[in-house]
Amino acid sequence: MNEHPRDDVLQDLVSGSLDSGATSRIERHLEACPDCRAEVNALRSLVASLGDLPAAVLPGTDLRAGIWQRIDGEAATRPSAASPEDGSVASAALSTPPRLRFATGASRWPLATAALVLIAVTATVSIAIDRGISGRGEPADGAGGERAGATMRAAEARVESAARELEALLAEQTGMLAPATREVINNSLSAIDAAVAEARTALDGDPGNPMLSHMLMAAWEKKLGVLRAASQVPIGI
Amino acid sequence: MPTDHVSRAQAGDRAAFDALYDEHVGHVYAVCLRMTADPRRAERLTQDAFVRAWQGLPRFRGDSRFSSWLHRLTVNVVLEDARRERRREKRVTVVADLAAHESGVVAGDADGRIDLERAIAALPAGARRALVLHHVLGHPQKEVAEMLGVAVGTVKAQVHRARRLLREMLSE
Repeated sequence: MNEHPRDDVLQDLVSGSLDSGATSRIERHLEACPDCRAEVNALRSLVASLGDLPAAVLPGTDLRAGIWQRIDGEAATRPSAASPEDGSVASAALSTPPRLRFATGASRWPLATAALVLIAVTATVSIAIDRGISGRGEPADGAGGERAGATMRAAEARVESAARELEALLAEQTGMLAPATREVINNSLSAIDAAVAEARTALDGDPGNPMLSHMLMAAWEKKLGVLRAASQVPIGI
Repeated sequence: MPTDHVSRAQAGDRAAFDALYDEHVGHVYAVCLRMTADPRRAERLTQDAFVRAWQGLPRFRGDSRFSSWLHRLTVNVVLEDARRERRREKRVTVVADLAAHESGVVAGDADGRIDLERAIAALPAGARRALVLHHVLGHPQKEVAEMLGVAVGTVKAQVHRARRLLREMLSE
């Protein structure tokens, strides 16, 4: 090879994407051509430098507060079970509200009520749970635990009622959903129901345990989230 | 198998998730920053990634390492954001605001690395994304093509262009 290889060919050589025949030809040329050799060495050096860049760069500020704020905000307005997967399917941005597809007109009001109930109930239960925890962050017992337990029961009843409203609405819309979608929704709801039942049983055995209370409410939130997503309730109704 | 922090975070333990944040935020932010060349946007996307990680944790079964799962999730977050921004995307040259790169993480041959980081930041967005995914994050070109939704030839051309521009900038 007397002619200088093109720039992109040299880059392919560095990338290792040339076939063995082309690689041999270019390497023979490099042995005789200091200019091309220097070019390839510079490219290899650049690629090595890129690979050597620090794997971690710390942000200028601690982002945790904002992350938790968003998680808590979205837990009240958006279903976690319908959140984007980590896989290859491109999913909606967190900041992008879901489009209203099925719930229209009067049917939105029960959903709005259910969403508001969830927000109010979650806040109430959080306060109750927090009050049931001592200043050292340890689970309370005695009167504090009983109060938290009673509030929890009342809150659960309200969430259950909201869930029933959403289930009724979903039942009306079931015919509009593809069979596979219905199956996914039903499977999700079954799994969440099992989680609710498990947390409820555990809490019955340890009524003052704030972690179990949080887990139970998280399971309920998830159930309402799935129901809301399945019914296509927009954020902020 | 999920680590202890992952298992605890999956059960709703916020302290465990905070520990995962501490452990992985450097990598997540580095991916976001190098792909976007915009520190503020990178911070927002880092938050997006961790919010999405928290929401997706119940579905994480430990088939891959948590770090790999979070990495892929982060790349998806950045690419989705890029797709949304594409219409108004302009060449971003955030050279003056790269203090984050100098926040104690870059050691040793710091000058050379900062020059390289600045040069990467000054690349056109498409070329930068292809270069970072392939050369910095180590994804094969075929995988990069799938991530970006373009042909392998397009990735190859973008990477070539990026390397050529980098060499020009670094030799100035």
